[in-house]
Amino acid sequence: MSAPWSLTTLALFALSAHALWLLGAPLPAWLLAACGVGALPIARAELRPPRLAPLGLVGLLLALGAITWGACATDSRVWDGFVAWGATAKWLALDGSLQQPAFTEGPAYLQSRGYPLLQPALLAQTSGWLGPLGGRLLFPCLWLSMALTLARALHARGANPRAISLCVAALALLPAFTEGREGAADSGYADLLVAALLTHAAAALLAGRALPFALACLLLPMAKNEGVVHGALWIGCAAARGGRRLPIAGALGALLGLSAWAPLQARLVAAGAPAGTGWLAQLLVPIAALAFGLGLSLPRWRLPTVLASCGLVVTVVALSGFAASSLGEAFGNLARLQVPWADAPRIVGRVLYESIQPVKVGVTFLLPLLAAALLRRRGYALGDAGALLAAIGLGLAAIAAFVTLGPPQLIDSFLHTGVDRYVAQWVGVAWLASGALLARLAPAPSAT
Amino acid sequence: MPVVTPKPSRISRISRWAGVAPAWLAALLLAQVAFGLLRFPQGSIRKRGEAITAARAAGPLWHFPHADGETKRLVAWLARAAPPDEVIVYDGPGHGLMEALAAVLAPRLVAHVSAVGPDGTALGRRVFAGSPNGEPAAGRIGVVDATDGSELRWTLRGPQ
Repeated sequence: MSAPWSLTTLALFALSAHALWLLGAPLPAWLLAACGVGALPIARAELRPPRLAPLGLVGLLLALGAITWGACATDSRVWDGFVAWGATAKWLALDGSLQQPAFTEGPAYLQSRGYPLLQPALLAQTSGWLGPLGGRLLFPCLWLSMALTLARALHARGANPRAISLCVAALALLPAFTEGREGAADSGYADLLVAALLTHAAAALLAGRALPFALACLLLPMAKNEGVVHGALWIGCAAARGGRRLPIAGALGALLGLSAWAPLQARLVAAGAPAGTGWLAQLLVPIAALAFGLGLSLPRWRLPTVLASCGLVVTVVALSGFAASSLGEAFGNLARLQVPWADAPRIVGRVLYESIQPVKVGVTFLLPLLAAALLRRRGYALGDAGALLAAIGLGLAAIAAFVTLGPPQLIDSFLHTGVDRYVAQWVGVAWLASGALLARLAPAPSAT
Repeated sequence: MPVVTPKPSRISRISRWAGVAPAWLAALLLAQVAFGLLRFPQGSIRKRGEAITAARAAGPLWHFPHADGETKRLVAWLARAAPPDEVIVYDGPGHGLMEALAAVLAPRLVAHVSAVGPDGTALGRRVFAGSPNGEPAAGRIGVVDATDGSELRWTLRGPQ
């Protein structure tokens, strides 16, 4: 059901596309289809949709219908989906090449110059087959991939089928993605792609599967600028929980993804001028995250590895290896120690508010916290679900840090329409954490 | 002596039905799903339907709801008249409404006025030089004046 949009398909497509672009070649119109076929042997398990109880199925189908209608009825009706992500997709739909003046010439107008190209490239490919509106089926497919990943991961954990359906219905009917606002599933923003990838990473971590974890970490930097931070968070959390295979796989995936995207981004931002080698510093981010997480898990090596990883982070910040983006500016301000502390309380307050905003996310982030508190009170360890909670907590802290350190003139804009989207990127992870924790609190079977 | 089993309360029956314990967590989960279902007709269907209807009616002007009449006329004209192989030139920082105009015109090339060469071309293409009111260009180039960001104006300028 979700195989054409599986993680393997996306990773094959992303790697091929970035390799072709780095070589100066255009993307053939059949590339995504070929990657879908190529991924079948690995993604075959995803062909069978997970079984859902009626309530979960109804919630899923209702939301899927609304999102599909919203996505395919018109071009993006929300600002950034139209002016940034959608416009780039229209350029790529011409011939799949980055050799067009819009990408190579500085005076050419491209609002989203330097934005990651994975979603626009996917949209360009699907639009090539199905037309500009039909191609937007991409968005309901990505959304479905997130919801089905949640269901599959909870089934694999042995959760109660009805509890799984309730979690899926809760995620499916969440206004943050189902209603047509900024960042919603049909808005054309890349936040949905990030949310799907974060959910894949969380599911892989819960199942201890190294390949999907590596692929999610590979794809995150190619999906959105903050993906490099998300990848680092997952690598750090996976390493801190113990075990080597998963975090090392994640770090290798992120290194591969950044090696493909960061030089291309530097070239796009330079628009014909020499791109330099500053982007190489970004490669230190996953290494620093791995060292930090491993250091936390090894009591004897804790201090040296944590200090070494902090040194790497300082190096990344000092080298200013990030492209001219809001994230790059945030790292630049950190390097210059320009921290507007006065704004920090209202920014942190906004992040906390958006994570409990009843009309957007409801109890999405509250429920796993309550379930975790209950488990701890009863003396149980949280297990792998604890790593998901840690990732969510660090993700929310990263949002607050980014908005605080980012461009000062954009703080109000981020608070108005950014923070809610960034928080919503974590809803799939939160419902996965809830389902995993609730599975351990399941009621005893009734006596017959 | 018969064993008396206490009748389970409604909330504990909900907990068993949902497969979630304790009961208050099950209630919280069910409340979230119920809220989503109750909100769905209004939030996901009616509002979306209204937005789709309005967006179809507005066409390329959907992203210019607060623009003045002259800006709207200019956007509609450029979307209709600008040929795909010519470059549309603008002046100004390129923020605000210029972002939406470039997206409306995509994949037609939009370039800053500084790219116009002495031969009147920009980035190897002819510069679009029409006029919404039919005024002859007479060797001049058309420029979208986006200095303000909240309004767009069309000007015909002589060679740079």
